[in-house]
Parts: sequence; C-alpha cells; structure tokens
Amino acid sequence: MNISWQYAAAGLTLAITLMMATSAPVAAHGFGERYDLPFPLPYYLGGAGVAVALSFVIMGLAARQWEPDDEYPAIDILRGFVGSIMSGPAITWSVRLVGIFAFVLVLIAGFYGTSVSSGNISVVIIWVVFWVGLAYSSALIGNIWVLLNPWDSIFRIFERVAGLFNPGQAIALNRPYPAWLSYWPAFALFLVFAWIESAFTGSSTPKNLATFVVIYSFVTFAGMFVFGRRVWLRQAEAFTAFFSLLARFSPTEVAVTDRSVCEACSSDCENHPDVCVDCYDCYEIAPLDTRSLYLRPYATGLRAVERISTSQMAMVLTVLATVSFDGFTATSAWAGFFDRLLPVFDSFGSNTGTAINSVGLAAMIGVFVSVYIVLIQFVIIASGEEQSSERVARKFVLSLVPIALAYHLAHFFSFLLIQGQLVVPLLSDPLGRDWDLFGTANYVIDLTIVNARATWLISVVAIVIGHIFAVYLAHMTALKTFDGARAALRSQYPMLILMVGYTMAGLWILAQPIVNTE
Amino acid sequence: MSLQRIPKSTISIFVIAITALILAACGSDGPTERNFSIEFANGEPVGGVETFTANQGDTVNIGLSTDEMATFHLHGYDLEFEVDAGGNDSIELLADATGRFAIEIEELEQDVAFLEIRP
Repeated sequence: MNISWQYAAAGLTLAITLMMATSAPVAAHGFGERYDLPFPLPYYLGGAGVAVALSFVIMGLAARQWEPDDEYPAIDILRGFVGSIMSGPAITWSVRLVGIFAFVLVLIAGFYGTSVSSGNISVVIIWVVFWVGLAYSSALIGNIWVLLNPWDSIFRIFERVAGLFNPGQAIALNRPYPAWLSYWPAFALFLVFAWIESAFTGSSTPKNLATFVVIYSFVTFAGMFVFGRRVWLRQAEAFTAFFSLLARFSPTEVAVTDRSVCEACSSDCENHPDVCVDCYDCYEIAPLDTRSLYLRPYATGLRAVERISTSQMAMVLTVLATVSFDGFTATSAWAGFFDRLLPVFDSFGSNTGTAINSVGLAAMIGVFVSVYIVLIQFVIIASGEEQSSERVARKFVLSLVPIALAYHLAHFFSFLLIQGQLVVPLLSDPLGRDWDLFGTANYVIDLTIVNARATWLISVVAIVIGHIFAVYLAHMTALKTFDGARAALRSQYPMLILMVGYTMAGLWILAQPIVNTE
Repeated sequence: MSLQRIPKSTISIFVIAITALILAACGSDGPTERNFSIEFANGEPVGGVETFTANQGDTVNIGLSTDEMATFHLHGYDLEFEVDAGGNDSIELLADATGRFAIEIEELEQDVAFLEIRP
C-alpha cells in the first residue's frame, strides 16, 4: 500500500475532526420560509382541465399514427475550435474548483459560522443552490453535477498526486463491486438525504448540515477507495444518481463516438448503433477526439428504458414521493395529521416533529410504491398480454419523472428567486460575523422580484407541459413493450388515470395555503 | 419527435385556456386602506388564527393587543413590534410585495395570523 495516500487520509481525518471539535455551539432559527400564495381556483381548475384534455388528444394522435422510434435529432455542439476549448481541462477544472470551493465553504461556515441559518452561507449553498438550483439546471440544461461533484474532484486530485510519487500504482483498492448491490447503495443514501431534507427538523442548522457533509464524505471517499472512484460514483453516490435522473430530461447528452471505447466500459450505457450516450465512465476514458456533447430534444433521455434495474426503479419512486412530500407538509391537511399524531409521539421529546415527519415520509413512499405496483397490474391486464409485472414496472417508471420534475420546478420557483437572493449578502459575510468582503453584506431581500401572477402562470404551464411529456413517454414505452398499437393504447388508459391523478395532486398542493407545523 | 403533428386546433385550445386563466386572475379595484386586528389573550389569538387579505398596493393596518408581553413578527416584510402586557400597537405597511406572510409571536414560536397580499 501507498504511503503518501495514508498520510493524506490521516491528515484529512485530523483536519475534519479538529473542525468538528472546535466549532461553534448549536442554536437554530428559521430558514427557507415560503411566502407563496395559494393557486387561485381558475388556475387550479384550468390547469387540470387542460392537462386532461391534452392527454386525450395525445392518446387520439397516438392511436392513429405513432410508431416506436428510437431515432431523434441531435446536434454536436463540441465540434471545432470552441468545442475543444470547452471540453478541455482548463474549463472543466475551473468548474471542478468551484465545486471544491463550495464544499470547503460549507464545512468552514457550517462549523465556524453563526448558528442563525439565514445568516450562514452553508445553509443557502445546500438547500437553495445545491438542492433546488442544481435540480433546475440538471433538468433544464444538463448534468453539470458531473463536473461540480467535489468528492469526485478531490479524489481525482489525490489520484494525481499519488501518481507523482508512485507512478502507475492506483490508490484505490479496486475490489470487485458485488453485482447484487446494483444501485441499492445510491438508493439507500438518497433515502437518508430525503429524510434529512423533509423529515429531520434540524435540517437548517449549519452545524448539523456540516456534520452530515463530513459523514457523507467519509462514506463516499471510503467507497471510492475500496471499489474505485468510477464504480462508486455510478452505483452508490446518491447525488450522481439523483442529478443524472433529472438530467435525463435535459436537452444535452455526452456521447462517445467510438464503439470500441464503448465496449470496454460499463455495461449500463445506453448503446446506440454507433455511439454510447450518457455514460460518463466511457466519456472519461475516451480519447478527446471521440468525445461529443449533443443537443437533443427534451425528455429524450427518459425514453431509454431498457436497462432500468429494480434498484433504480426504487430510487425513482423515492424521488417522486420525496418531492411530493416536501410540498404536502406545508398544507393544512398535513398540519391536521400532525396535530393528531402529536400526543402519540409525545415520548420523543424534542424529536417529536422529526418522528412524525419520518412516519409521514415513510407512508408517502409506501403509498407511491403500492399505487404504482397496483397500477402496473391494471396496465398489463388492459393490454391483454402476459408480461412480467416487474419488467413492465421498471420500463414505465421513467415516464412519471416529468410530472414530478414539473411539480418540483413549480413548487420551488419563487423560493429559488427569493431565498436565492441570500447569496448576495452572504458572499460578503459567509460566516455571519459582520464581515463585508465585497460590500454587499447589507443587501436586503427584494420580495417584489417575483410577481405572484407570473409564478402561478409559470407553475401551471410547467405542470401541464410535464404532464404532456409524461403521457407521451408512457405511450412510446407502451408501443415498445406490448405487441401492436391496439394493446399499447389499451394499456395506457389505467396509466392515464394514474398520471391525471398525480398531476392533480401536484396542482392541489399548490392550491393549498401554506401553514407551518413544528 | 412527432410533436409537429399536433393539429392547430389543439394548440389554439391551449392558447385560449391560458389566456382565460390570465384574464380570470386579473381585475382588482384601486388601492384601498385595509384595517385588521389581532387580540392575543390567554395564549391564543381571540377568534382563532385568521387570514387577512389585501391587494397589492393597499395600505394595511393591523392593530395588535396582548395580555402578556409579546413580540409580533410579520414575516417576509420582516417587521417586529414588541408589545407590553395589556398594551397596544399597530403594524402599518404599504402592501408592495405579494405573498402569504405569517404573523408570529416570537417568544412562543406561534403563528397568530396570516396576511395574504394578492396581485
């Protein structure tokens, strides 16, 4: 084993332990307040009506004309001189450094900054920039987490530095990754993150966040060390899994244009006849002149349903449930449950809120999984064919993603624009210590930046568009899954009921006045 | 993609629906003055947690009274009023920002009313 690696690991452990031991004491105050007005009735009913009407239009069109089609237009945007600079190390490592800088800032501000959450940049980086902002950009632009991921970048630096001392020797043990683990580690770690985000009441306390980041860093570095960086990122890193799921909707994809490179890397790539797409393992080892970045139609990546494993399906359903639960906890319906459960969970003391939320989150995931499984039975019955329900369930799960995505974007639109402004004062005073590094520390959030009517309109349009994509994707999948257009069409009636219900649930949550529990 | 095959009639339904939505949500009268009050007694707001509504541009006045020392905090606009036991005060503001804002008693971390400013 390699001496320099051991020293580096020991040094990192020591530094982080020192940070945790010497940091400021805990005290919490509100962060991330929502000021959204409930959807007025015309938007709610109008959105629902348009979604239902267009669903039937799509079904009608599909019944007559559509055929399964794997081809789609794609434009190579990395070609030529500009492209070679954009994909070169100068640009990619600048982005990587931004990721590392944000990571270090979260740790320093989390442990040494003020305990007032809205005055500490770590909270804003994690809940506004990372959780909401990166979700937006992953879905609407592309998978930039691949470059921003600080654990990946730091590990790469370790690999390079170690390579200088012991050339040709890998620092990772590269143990074989057990096949039965599949994507379950990513699923499990995302579940923990979902719990922190929507159930744990201390989730906006800077020190808690920094502590979670440290624990997750140890898990991730250990995983990369044992199984190799690329394997761990692909199968087990929760945020790589989450953001690449959202980026399947995005209009960009990375591709390797040399088949022989594709053959040599991960078996999970989407393989087209002459390229492999959205396979970062392949992209990384591919020679520069075979790397491409394609512009493609939105949601194209969600049509690639052949290789979705059961663990990935579990991950997708958990993401959908978490996103809905986040909005549901701000409704008075949830506040009612919450109050009724309070006496039952009294023995949890100061953790009562977290305990009730945990039960709620678990129930929400349970409901999503069971409704989906039952519905898939109906889809198979309606198709009139004999098919394995697990196989069908895996194939259709991605078609629900646009509905969840649209709801997520609608739910967080004003939050992103209002709470996102906190970045301005906090860059000047990241630790809440009355600094004014760039002269912006006294910036006050401008609530008038978002017009309520514009928010409603953008939200309802996003939800209707998301719904249309979902119905379209499900139909495309049906054509590839069942024999003949008639069976495919019949199979989609139960699916349509699910999708209309899911879309209505999102609209209903947005029409509820926000209340606070706790 | 087969989206270009969607007939014109479908697109016009969509456009009409969206236009109807915008029109339905418009149409408020000019700025007015709105008066509300919160009476906090025996640890809760008298008459329950109310939602006060006003339109953007209105002048809003919320009378505050309490039987124990309490700091009323209007979120969003971020205004704080410390009122002594048995005392009175009032929140006055020009409703320039739309939204739903909680009025909380800081000491008890308890929401006593909501102020909704609609566009």
